[in-house]
Amino acid sequence: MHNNRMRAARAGRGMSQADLAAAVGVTRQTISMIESGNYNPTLRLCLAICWCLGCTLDELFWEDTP
Amino acid sequence: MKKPKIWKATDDERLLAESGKIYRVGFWVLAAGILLDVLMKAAVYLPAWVGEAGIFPLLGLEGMVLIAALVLCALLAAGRGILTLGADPEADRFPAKHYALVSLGLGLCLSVISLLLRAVVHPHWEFGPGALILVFGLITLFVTGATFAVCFGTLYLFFRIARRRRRRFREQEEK
Repeated sequence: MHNNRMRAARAGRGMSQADLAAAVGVTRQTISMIESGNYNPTLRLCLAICWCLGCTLDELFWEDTP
Repeated sequence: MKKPKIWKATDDERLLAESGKIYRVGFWVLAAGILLDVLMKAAVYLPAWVGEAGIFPLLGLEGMVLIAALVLCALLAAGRGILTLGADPEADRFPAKHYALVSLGLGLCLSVISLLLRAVVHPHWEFGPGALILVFGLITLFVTGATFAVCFGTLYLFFRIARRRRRRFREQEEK
């Protein structure tokens, strides 16, 4: 499932995927895969992304049950 | 952007997870190859080897290293309180039936491979069907029995170590 909220939050901060990747200590490909829904990050990485983008876990990652 | 140092191992959890899966495939291919090599040596040299220089010429250095690597992996897993082989890695009761089937299956696989190698390398068709059935039956019985006993016993040992470690973790949490 695509994570458009994360993509929007990153773009809203004027960060590229590479910038965010460097900030949280992963590769650009990992950020790309999270945004396209092809990789399920650990809670530790989710938190690092949230801190970096100034958002909460709910705002970026919460999904209502289908 | 900070340039990553080329000698520093990656911290990327995705890459670590992916490479872990890739190395696991490589490890099992390597292990199967070494095991096949040991079995092939057994088929070729066993008739001359019996009673000579102990088990080392049969296993060789690569066989010893394989056993050491497998024991190390099992010990590391048991040290974390898990038994990696099985449906429930944290079972509190020894799943005897499951591990008996695993051990028996492994024993039968090894004996089939041993018999095939033996039939190719030292068929001795001139002995006649009676003697061949006896020899092949003895090989099957020995390989299956020995593998079953070693595998089941080792699994039980590591199960006990893992359970003891989990109990210790629980005691530490309760303190």
